Amino acid sequence: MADYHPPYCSVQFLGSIIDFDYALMLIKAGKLEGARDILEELLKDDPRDKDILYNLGMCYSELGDTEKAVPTLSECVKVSPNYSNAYVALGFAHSMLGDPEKAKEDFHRALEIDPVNSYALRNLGSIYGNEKDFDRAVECFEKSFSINPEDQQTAYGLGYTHFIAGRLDKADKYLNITAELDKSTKIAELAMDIRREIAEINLKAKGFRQDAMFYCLGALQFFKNKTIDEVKQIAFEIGVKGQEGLDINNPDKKHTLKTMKGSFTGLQLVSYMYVGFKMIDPKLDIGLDLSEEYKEALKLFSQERPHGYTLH
Amino acid sequence: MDIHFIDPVPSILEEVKNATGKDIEFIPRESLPTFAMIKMARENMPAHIMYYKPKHDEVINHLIVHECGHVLRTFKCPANQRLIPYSDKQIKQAVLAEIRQDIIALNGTLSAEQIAHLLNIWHDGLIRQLINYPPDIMIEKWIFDRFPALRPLQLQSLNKQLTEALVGLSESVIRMTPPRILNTSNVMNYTFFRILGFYVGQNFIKQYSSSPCINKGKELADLTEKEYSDDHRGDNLMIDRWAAFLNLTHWFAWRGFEDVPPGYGKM
Repeated sequence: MADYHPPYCSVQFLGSIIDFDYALMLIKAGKLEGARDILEELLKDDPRDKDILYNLGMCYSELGDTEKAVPTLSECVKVSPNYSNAYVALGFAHSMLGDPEKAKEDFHRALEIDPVNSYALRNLGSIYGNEKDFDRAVECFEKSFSINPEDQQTAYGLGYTHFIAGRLDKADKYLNITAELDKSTKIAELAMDIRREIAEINLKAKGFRQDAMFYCLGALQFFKNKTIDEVKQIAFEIGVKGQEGLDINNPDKKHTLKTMKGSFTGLQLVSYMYVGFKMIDPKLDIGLDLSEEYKEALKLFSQERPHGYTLH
Repeated sequence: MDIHFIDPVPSILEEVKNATGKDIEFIPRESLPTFAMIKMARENMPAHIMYYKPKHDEVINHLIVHECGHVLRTFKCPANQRLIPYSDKQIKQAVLAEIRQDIIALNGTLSAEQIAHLLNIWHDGLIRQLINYPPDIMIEKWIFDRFPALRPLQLQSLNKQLTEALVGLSESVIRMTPPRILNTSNVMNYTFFRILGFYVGQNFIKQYSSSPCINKGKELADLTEKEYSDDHRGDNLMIDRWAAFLNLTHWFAWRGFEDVPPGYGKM
């Protein structure tokens, strides 16, 4: 019987609980090697303990040691056949080993045991996404997200899948949610990068942007009498605002700056930033291509006369 | 260096060197809030750094041994299993948002600046108590058992600490501190001095006889005595246990001992 511990082992048993709790603490702090070492020791005394097997298997997976993760987690589900999360972990390990079919089997088994296992759904969504079965991927991610709406990885999975499938509006919505859930994570950065890409696709979808060209021209005129430090201040402030997300395709939304009076659309600010950075260092890439619009604006700016410029 | 070491300090310093492979460098610091404080060496640091107040008395010997106790406990644990508690801007902001209302409720006339100042004091103070008291209890027990010659200085040192803790029972502090924060602080003080008082044969807790913190303090002392595993891992588990008991779990997080910010080793 796995739960039976002879009375003469009680001291050792108490020690094992402490060790196990400490291993969990290490896992939470991301110190997986330390946790693995403790769990390996514990497993010697208790080779059929499902919690030790599960957490050790997870450590192996996270440390990239999938060769050990698979047998450990397989043993775990053998010992505890209704442990839904263990099947998810096993599926994850199979997936890392490059065996998506076995991984899918594991995730489906996890869902048979627990139909609302959001991690199983999320991982299944990832596999379908990799297989370019976007509809099924979105279906899994959406279900997972409805169960666990605070999960940033699921929100990102949804956003990314919609993006790859070319549904940019939906992608932008979920990538925005991803960033809003916790701005400090790497995944939030990735989400913001894709949002910028989406903004650029949307911007360029309409071809040459006359409005952006005029904003660039306005920026050239505005910056004409500014020192380079003043230009830097404005460009950097817009840059910081851009990190939080500027909607360049919504002319009704206005933004304000500390370094520049007035209220501005997202596209206007991005155009000012583009021109500003070109003045600071022409080689700088701001991640949004307004080169054609900037080139035309420069032409007009060089032809400008005190009474105005001539349009060709 | 202008510290007059008494026995057993030199041998403990040697023990630290043998156990960790690194010396302790003594650096004077006028601004130190206490006589001595150690910064444990990380892999990329050549030595542990013991800051000390140039103006001190012989109690400093007890504090140096106490700080060495922290080093010895930590380094006895395998390197990949060492953890340290930490708080960052994000964690602190969440906590401050939570306790801001308590302070405003206590005194609506405080300016934003005064509120921010008080929030910081209370936040940092509670965290310091929470992450230090559990290991400090075990280190003081260790000093009492292993170095009888140090007992008189240990007693002086603990009494000095007690005097500072008892401020938490004064009328003026009660008047200007949110009850939830003050009570949590007093529970920790009570627990610390109850356990150590019994251990060293002193009644450190007589002034707490009418304090509302007694019941929770007794409960916390009880679980501390029963559940403590006397090593670095046990220290960390007990800090977590105290945090859960006092509802302070979200006030800090854990990270690896070596995962300190760049520039940590700078003096």
